[in-house]
Amino acid sequence: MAGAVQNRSKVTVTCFLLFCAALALTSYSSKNPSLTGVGALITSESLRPFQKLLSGTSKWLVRLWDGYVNLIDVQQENQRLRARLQALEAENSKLFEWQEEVKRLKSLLGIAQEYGLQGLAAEVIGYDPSNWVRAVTVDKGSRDGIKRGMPVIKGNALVGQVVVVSPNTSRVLLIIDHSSGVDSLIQSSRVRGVVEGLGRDVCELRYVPREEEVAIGDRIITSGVDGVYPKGLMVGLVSDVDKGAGSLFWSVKVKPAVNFSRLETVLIITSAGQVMAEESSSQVQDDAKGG
Amino acid sequence: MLILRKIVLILVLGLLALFIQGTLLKSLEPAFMIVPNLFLVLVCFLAFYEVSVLGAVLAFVLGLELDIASNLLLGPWAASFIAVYGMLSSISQRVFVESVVAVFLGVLCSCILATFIYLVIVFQFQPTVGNLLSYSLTLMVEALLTAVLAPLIFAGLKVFLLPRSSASSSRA
Repeated sequence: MAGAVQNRSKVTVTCFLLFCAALALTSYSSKNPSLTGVGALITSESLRPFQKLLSGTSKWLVRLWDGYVNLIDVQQENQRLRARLQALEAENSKLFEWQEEVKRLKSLLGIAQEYGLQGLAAEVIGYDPSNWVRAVTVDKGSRDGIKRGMPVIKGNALVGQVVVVSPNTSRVLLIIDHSSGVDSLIQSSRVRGVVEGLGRDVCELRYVPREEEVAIGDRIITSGVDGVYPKGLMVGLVSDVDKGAGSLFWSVKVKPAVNFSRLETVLIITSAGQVMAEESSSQVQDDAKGG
Repeated sequence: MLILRKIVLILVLGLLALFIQGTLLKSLEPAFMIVPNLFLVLVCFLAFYEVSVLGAVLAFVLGLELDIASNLLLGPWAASFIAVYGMLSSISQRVFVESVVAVFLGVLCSCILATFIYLVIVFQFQPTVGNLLSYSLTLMVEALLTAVLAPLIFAGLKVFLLPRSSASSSRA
């Protein structure tokens, strides 16, 4: 009996001391984020072979299902997609004309610029094990030239940012994570705000003053001001607007442009070069005479 | 030797839980699927069957493993798990832990408490959007899922981690 009581006391004291140690460690790591880096590196490298194996196996199974089993309504979908393709081709032709016109106008104003984005495709091989952090692991790392802070996109839509890099893998913090913030603007009105993640499949655009106009369906793009994400990347669409009573700002919900539940491959932007296109004076003069 | 075997097995099971939670389960379903907290099941198992300084240290180490994998802060899960271990181990000797209901309720309450402590600590040290209320649905689903799976996992863990003699011998 005495032994059990003594053991109980030892356990209680140990728990208390370890709890205090954990709090101290949390405080220290919040001021020194690199502390978790070494451990994360070891963990991600050790899990990588299993994640790659599982990722490959699941993709093979999905291909098997799609290719041989799930052939219902394929013909109808094919016809529907053909019609959609024709409509998009017509629209693309129109957009190309507009693009050319914008180029001509910019050259007349003398502010011709081109943004070149270079990237590396990466495959998503794992997710964060907890339910409270929205991050993915990709199969490219420092050996492929990936560095911390590089933006990650899918198509022209924003996915997130590289936060941890190991030799063969990288960890990408998604924009839907509650610690993510993206300096953005509403494409139509050019009103600026910060898109912050809520830990689910919706984000919030914050700090939009009440006197500004915001409508459901407005496109949200990156502003480029934070120096992290290139300007003009699609963040999402406004899905809900709430003018909360007593608040200085709108409460704007944004549905991300990326479907994070089907994230398989992404593009890690390795350089966002900005090239000033030289406009020869003769070209400007020719255009001015012709215009 | 038995102690060393337990330590190694617990740490390996922690890595396995990491793989299952972070890769296997989430590859079956969309990214927003709520996965059970298998680490917490291990901690609860330790609280029921390894009430000792070793058990407390192992619970702490399991928390550190999850913190390292999440790469957010080092310490919140460790603090949560040790708090849950302390609470559960103090009542485990007064409860019939062989009962499925006891395991279910113990793990359910532990999951809620651990996640609550974790979120409170994270909110203190890192700016986050939202509040505890907005995470309540996720918290409840995670707790229920974990509690439902716990009796099955306990049955498997008893085979690997406990000696063939009575399970309660290590709790004496």
